[in-house]
Amino acid sequence: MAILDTPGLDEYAAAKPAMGRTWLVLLVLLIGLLALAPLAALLRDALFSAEPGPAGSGAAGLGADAAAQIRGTLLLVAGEGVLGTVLGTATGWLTAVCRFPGRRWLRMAQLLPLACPAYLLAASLIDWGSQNGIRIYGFWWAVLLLSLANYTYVFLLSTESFSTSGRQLLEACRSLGVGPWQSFWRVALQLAAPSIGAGVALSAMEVVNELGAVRLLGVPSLSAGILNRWQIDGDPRGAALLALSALAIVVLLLAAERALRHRSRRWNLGTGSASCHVWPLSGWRAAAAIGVTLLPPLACLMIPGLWIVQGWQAMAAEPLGELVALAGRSFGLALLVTAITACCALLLAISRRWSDGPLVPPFSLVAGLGYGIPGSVLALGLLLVGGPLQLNPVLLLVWGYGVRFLAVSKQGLDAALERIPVSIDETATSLGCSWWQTLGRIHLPLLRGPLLVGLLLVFVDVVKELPLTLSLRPFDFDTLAVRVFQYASDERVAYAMAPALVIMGFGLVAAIALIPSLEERS
Amino acid sequence: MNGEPNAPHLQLRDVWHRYAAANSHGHSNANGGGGWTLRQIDLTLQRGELVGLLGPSGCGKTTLLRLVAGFERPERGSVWIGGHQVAGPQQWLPAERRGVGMVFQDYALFPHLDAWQNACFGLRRGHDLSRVRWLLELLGLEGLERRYPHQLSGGQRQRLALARALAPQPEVVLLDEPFSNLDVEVRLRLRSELPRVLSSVGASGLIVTHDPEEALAICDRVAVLRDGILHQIAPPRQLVQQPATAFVGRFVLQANLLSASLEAAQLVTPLGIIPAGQWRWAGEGQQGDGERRAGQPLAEQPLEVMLGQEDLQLQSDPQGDWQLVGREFLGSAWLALLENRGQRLRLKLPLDHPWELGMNCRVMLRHEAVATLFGSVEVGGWG
Repeated sequence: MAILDTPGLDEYAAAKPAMGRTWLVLLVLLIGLLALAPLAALLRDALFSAEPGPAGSGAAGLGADAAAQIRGTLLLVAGEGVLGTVLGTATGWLTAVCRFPGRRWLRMAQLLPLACPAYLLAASLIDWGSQNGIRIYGFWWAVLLLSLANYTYVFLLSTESFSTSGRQLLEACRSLGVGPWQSFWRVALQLAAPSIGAGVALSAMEVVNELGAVRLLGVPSLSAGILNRWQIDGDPRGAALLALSALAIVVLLLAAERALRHRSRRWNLGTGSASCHVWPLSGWRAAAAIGVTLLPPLACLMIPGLWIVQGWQAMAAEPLGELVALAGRSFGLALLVTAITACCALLLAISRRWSDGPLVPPFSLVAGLGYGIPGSVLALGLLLVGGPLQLNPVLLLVWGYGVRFLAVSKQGLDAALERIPVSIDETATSLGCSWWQTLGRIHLPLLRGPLLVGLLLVFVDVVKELPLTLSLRPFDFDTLAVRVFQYASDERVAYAMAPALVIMGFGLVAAIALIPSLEERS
Repeated sequence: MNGEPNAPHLQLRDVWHRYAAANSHGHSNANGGGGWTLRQIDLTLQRGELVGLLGPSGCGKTTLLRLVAGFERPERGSVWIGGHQVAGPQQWLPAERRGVGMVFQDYALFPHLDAWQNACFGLRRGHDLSRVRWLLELLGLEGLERRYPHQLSGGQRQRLALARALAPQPEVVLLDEPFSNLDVEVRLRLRSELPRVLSSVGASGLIVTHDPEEALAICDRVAVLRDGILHQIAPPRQLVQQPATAFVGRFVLQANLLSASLEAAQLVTPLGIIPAGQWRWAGEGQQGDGERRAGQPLAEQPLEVMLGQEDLQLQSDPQGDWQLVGREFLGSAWLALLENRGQRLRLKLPLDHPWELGMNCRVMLRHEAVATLFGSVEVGGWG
């Protein structure tokens, strides 16, 4: 019998997985270190660098414009927070628990803003305004456009809360004689508050990260300040100090998001079994619901849409070869990053399930927090690591994308893996599967869906990404996003249209890819 | 709502319902033609009565409850609460204005409110709270007012859900499988408490369950549902003695049903011949509201004979058609499982009965027992 040839069956069964698991742990540590390295370099440079910068640098001497930039970012976060909360909560509530004509389509439409990055909205609205004699500039326009571009994060989390834990509790409200408004305020909103808070924190991180829109609209912000100080003023230490203050804001937001999500999970007691919509709306109420849920996605589509339609002829003049070269760079980068993040995400997700070492959870957590780091901060940190080592800038760029977007593919995988009960693994093990056989025969087939969605989202995120790309790309290595921004800042807007159209096209694909997971939530 | 003094607390008149999805996709489910979830339901709850809705999963019993609560609107027919029409072709009262209490299967307690706030949730501002205090005391929850739902045990959550439903003084309380998430011990205790609690607040109850024992134990009357059709509604005792359909016999009494045919007045069955006088037609001598809709079947139709587990006896016989294939220990008796060419029988044997797995035997009807004969055409043959 073949089995007798194996020396010591027990040894075989115990030793092999243990060895595989050691590798897993080492790989997780490596990923965690790669994510931490840029931040460590940033900290070292900002706090311990002996080399004095040019005049005006140093913690005390960051100056008035740094204060204005910090203030600008905080005000933007606050303004977007308020408007984004209102939009995301209203659309989440209406499409999750009310019934009105077109509800299903309008629910999906809330994903459309994902296709329109804020810098694209800003570029097209500014140009459209200048053609029609409206000056689009300043803080309030920035708040409006950032809210439109980012309220979807609030929507996704609030609508999940409203439609799962909320629905059955709302029926309990009704059976106790409590009407729609009262049950919204007294139960649904209170229960959704942690989820809404987490969504607001997520969208606020995007606001801190934002570079293109705030520059085009002339709003002082940390993201732009870091780049200016570093590239224009030649003051890396001052830039690092600014980056630290941006990080401080983000750390607060991350902590808030984590804590709130934890709380929302604890409250999620019931199962939303009923499939009906609790509140039928008719007449002016239905009309108002349609208006509230239609306007934001419509605006996100119409602002660039109208602009492209008006400037159609100018766009046709653009040489095709240039567009192909831009798209080639964008897609090449995106494919590479997608493959890397997918592998890393899978590794992290699996190792958390299979290894009980004390190091894995914290490192896996750290590796998944990169999405909070603003692009310009990350770029600075990477240059501080890569500069002395003379690393290729494109390699740094890929590293940066990886750190920033790892969470995008990891999140879906983690959630899907959590839904596979541990008893399934134990069944496979009891039937003689080693951990990697279980991975291949059970986990991978079950995780294929979320893995694919994650791949697609990372791809589109890389194509849309601006601050990191703008700061790290080598000379003469423009991508679609960089070109849209540069043409828009040079007021040669017509040339920006074709790349903008390609970005939006891919963004729409990503939005469509998210529809099934949205349907799952209702 | 305050009903008219003598009207029944709850009445369903010729109610039909189907879900929109079954309609639009044009597919019909197991419940017969047209995708009806419920067909021709007539049901009345007298004041103070506790009625059980009993049936296998998917039979429509929870849908029936949701129709009464106002979460679904019937496609045909009408629903009356306290003498007022709340749902009908021209009439619709939304759930929050019906004044019907509801206890959900997983309780649906508000996780962000403590026990006291949960119990008071349905009361208007300035309402007298002494009733809530009394209810919590009645249900053994005093001292737990400041606890949150996740700090309560399963039984305490269940009682809190009941207290919350009863606080606004509803005339009708709907209970959707209220005991199904509880341990056996807690379940037995709470279910025997329920009739007492309901009668001390003067409410009538409609309780959904899939457990025949539970329904028979605590309900004044039991309505048996299958595939959206009401097979029988009767007091527990009548249900046991005079099941209206073969399904009621099988589901509620766990009785044996075998195919049979009539020759003269004798019944030919796989057990042998049952002479006239030892069988009767289902529905004969039946009183009350136990309805039969199948009509008296003709002799040529395929027939089914119902034989209770206690009505049969067994005799070892190497030539016998039946084989003993298994047995279960019931504490006070054995439950024997017998097989004969694909047909199965379950019967109770005394503890001292000699048996041997695999042995062949003959099965006979006891002298004093009477078999019940059903036409195979069950109710619900129309679409």
